[in-house]
Amino acid sequence: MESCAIYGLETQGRALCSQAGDDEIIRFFVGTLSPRAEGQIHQLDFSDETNQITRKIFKLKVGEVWQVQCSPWASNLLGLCYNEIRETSAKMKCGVWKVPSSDSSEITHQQQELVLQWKFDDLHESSFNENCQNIDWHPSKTGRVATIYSTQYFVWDVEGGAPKLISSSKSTSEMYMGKWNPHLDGNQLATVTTTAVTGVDMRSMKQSWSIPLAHKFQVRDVDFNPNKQYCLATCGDDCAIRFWDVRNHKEPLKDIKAHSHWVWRVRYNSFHDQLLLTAGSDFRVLLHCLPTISSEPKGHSVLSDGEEEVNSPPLEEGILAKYEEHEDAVYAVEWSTFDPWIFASLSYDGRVVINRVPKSFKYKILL
Amino acid sequence: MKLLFLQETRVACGLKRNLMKMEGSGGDHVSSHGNPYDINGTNFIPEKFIKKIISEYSLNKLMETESSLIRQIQDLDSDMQTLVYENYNKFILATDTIRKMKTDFREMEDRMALLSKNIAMITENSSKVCSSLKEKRDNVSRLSGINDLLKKLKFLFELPNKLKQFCEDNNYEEAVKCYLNGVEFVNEFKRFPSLEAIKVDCQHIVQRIKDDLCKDFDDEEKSSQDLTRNVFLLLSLGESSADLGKRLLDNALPKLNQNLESIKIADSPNVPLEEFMELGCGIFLSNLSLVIASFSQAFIQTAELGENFRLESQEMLKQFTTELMDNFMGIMEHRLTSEDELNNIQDAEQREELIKALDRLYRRLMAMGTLMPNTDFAPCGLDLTFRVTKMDADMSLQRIKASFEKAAKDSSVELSSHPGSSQEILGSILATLVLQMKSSLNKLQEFCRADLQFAQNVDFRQKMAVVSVREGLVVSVFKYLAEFGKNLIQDEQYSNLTWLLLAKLYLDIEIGTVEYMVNSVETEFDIRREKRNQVYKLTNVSSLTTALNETAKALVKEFVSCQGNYISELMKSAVLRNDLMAVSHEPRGPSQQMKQVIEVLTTLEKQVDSIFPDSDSSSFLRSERSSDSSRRSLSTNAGNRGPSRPSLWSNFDPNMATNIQKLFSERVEIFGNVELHKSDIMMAIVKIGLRALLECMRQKTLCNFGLHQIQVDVLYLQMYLWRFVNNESFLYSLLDEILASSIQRCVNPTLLEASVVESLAEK
Repeated sequence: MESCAIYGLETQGRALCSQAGDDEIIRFFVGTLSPRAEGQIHQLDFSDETNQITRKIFKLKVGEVWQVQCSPWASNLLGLCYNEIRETSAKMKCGVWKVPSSDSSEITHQQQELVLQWKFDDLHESSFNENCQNIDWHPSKTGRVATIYSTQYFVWDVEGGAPKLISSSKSTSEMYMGKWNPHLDGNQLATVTTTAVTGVDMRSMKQSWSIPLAHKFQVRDVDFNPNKQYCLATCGDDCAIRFWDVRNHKEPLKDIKAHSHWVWRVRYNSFHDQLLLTAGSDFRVLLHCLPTISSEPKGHSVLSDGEEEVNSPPLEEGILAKYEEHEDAVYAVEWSTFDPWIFASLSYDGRVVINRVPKSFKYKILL
Repeated sequence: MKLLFLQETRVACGLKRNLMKMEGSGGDHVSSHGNPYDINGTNFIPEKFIKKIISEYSLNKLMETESSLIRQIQDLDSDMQTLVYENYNKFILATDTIRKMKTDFREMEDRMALLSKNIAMITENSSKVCSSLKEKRDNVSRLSGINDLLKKLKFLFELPNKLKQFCEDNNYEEAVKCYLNGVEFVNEFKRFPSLEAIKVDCQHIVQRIKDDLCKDFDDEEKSSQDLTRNVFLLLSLGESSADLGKRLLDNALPKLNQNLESIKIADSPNVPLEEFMELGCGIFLSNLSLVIASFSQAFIQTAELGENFRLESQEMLKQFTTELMDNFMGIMEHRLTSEDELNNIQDAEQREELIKALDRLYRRLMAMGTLMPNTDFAPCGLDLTFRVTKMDADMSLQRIKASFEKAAKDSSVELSSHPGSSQEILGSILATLVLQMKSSLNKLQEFCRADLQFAQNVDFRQKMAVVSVREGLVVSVFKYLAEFGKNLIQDEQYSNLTWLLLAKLYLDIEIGTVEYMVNSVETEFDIRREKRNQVYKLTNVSSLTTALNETAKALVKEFVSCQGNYISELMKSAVLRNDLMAVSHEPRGPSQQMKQVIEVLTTLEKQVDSIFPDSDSSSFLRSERSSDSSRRSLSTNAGNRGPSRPSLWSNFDPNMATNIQKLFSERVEIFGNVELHKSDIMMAIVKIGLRALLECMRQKTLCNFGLHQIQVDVLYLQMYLWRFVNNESFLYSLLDEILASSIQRCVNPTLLEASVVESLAEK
């Protein structure tokens, strides 16, 4: 088994993302979670050769971080969900911060501070008092970002500097999260209520599809297959991971029960969508291989000629690897945006584990 | 001297040799000894002999030898002389005899000449007599020939009248016999025109006879005896046998069809089975047997007909009967299998009647098989009987299924109204099931009674025992049970408790009933499991028990996850819906939802206990634990709760405590496999609920008062939950974790005094 790299936060943690953009570096951002301290963002750079993690800590002048997401078009912009704690209340809010450029870090060796760009909640009317559920950068449209609250969601354009409200909509039932569909010109946002996943067309603000009973209990995460339209994966409190074609909301394409407790996160590998990561509160991260429902049905790219197909045995469907380095519930797992064979997972006790896809499988997929 | 001696020796030798030849003996004997020194041998070489004795012998001895040789030579000379004299004497005697014979022969010659002269005279006389008698003999023979001819002619002239006479008397046999006799002569005298007329006459009459005989074939009333006779006559009159066969069968067909028609009419529930069978076996099959018998007597068993033709007619008969029998069996099956449906009441008498009917049919079919070579209808009968048994087994199966489904539904209702009655329900369901199977088996066994002809057939017995009884009834029942359990989870008609009840039932069945039932079937129906050349597939008993066991486990697991999630929802609503930051007062007691959780668990425990009571040893342990009256008050003394407890309550670093605890405890799966007894089922449900509470707490931010409420709730849960679980240390570690997470999520954590928490929790 290839060794993994482990990093520990002093506090609990739920927020993890990989740096997007063109920088050729394996970089993850991790947010700290503690109601009694200011939040921090730890920037973790991983070197594949030395298996070492270099960290840099950025201070944040707001409370604990519940979500961090790096914008796909500007690698130094981080969308954050944070918990603002007052005397008798705690409120989830969201905003965008900028990571300061590395030049300045050499001058001052002290902890640096993220530069606040906008707090979306300040842009609403003062009466607006809902908790922010999550923030989701648009995967392809520059400057487009969605903020999801309990019963409303907003789409902003921040490209021009100040955020501009593009559209907003109310939901009848309480939302848990929202996510952009990378396909269909990126005009579709999927929202998750308790057990349902619904696709809404952002141009007409009408529902395009709905899976009313994606899971028996709370749906915890949804991820679109990056290479195959209409296909998405969901996970939830019934311990199941399900794969759907949105055109058929009655029957999932596949139903996997591999975790022994709730499944909190599901992530497709954006280069090889037969690879899928799931994390759950059974302290496990699972790497699945699903050639049958991937965009590369035979397990390798269309370019390979017949001879190669004969030589390489097809990938087996199922769990490729179980990662059991965590000792607490794992609420987040992310692929590296730069190296498709590396991923990080974060458990509640603040442990970050950076792992690789086993080499043998890597070659099976590549060759 | 030497020379002289040599000469003498030579003479002696020559003499000796001559003497030997004359006596005709010893020649070969002597020559075989090639010793040149043997004076008596043929190879005697005098020179060598002389040389030898001269060189070897002393003078005296030589002298001696010489004198002995001389003596010997003299002896030989005198011998020869006597011989010559004797032979000469014999010659003289022979000459005398010959002379005497010459005179005797002359006398005989004269007598012979006389004899030959007499014989010649006799020959001459005899030929004279012969030639004089010849004429008369010829005349006699011609007269006798004419006499014969006249007789024949007389017969011929009489023939037409005779035939007519026979015809009028309907004595066709005699007529045909006469005609057949006459036909030969007619053919003999074909060339005389006057006789031709007689022939034509005869043929006319015979044609009429033929027509008459043939007419009989169109007459349905004619007995087959008569028809067989007709066939014989017509056959001897040279009719085509194939044609005759066809006509014979055609004659029988309408009657048989009529019989069939009447059976068809009788094929209605209004007609008693016995009457129906009488029509079928008594009339139709009897008639058909008669036809077959007469046909085969006429066309198949007759030796005069060619082998080819016999095969042909056999084929014709086969086709004929097969067609009819197909029809017949169709009607029989329709009636008998529908009769079975009518027999829903399973009335013993009707059943007996049906079995009798089947037996009767089978016997008749067997009998027909002996009549007809190469065709056997017995398998059809067996097949029909088998299908009836299969239908019977199927119906029993349906009945068992229906009553089981009803029992399950009833139990669902019963359980919700009287939760304590589960053991009785369980017992009654099981008893009903076994009873029903037994009674069905008993009924099926009637098909195997020794007095039934078809039950004697080993193949049928095996097929019925395996396919109808073992697989069709017993195995199917168990398969159905497993299937029913699997589908139960999706079916909302049944309460969750029914899942549990069925799980228990399946376990009970799996342990004893399956093996018992299958074994009893196998002994009663004589099925040998280990038999290698078993034609019909036997389902493995272990596959049945495994299926039942798996279904039971799946049901329990589903029950646990269902109940666990119900508890989870209660927990969630206790935490998620409330704003724990906004709590502005100290807790007044455990929260409402927690009380509800305990209530739910208490009733659940009762229900589970009634179905899956703990085994003796664990219940003993439990009673021991619960008899510990200080149990509740134990919580007042935190120190007694084991080493990890006080550290959490006093130590303010909850992370450390839980992490250390994790180091020493195994990873426990929340939605894992569940053992099939109460404490494990309850433990699993509690586990799921508490873990959900933990997850919910972690999603909240809470103020001090909120934390205090959790503190009270956790202690409250601890006070009540231990009763339900079999792994207290895991329970405590989960509760600790909940508290630790709550402390982490608290903005300004200060804990209440343990004693305060306790007094609050007991409210």
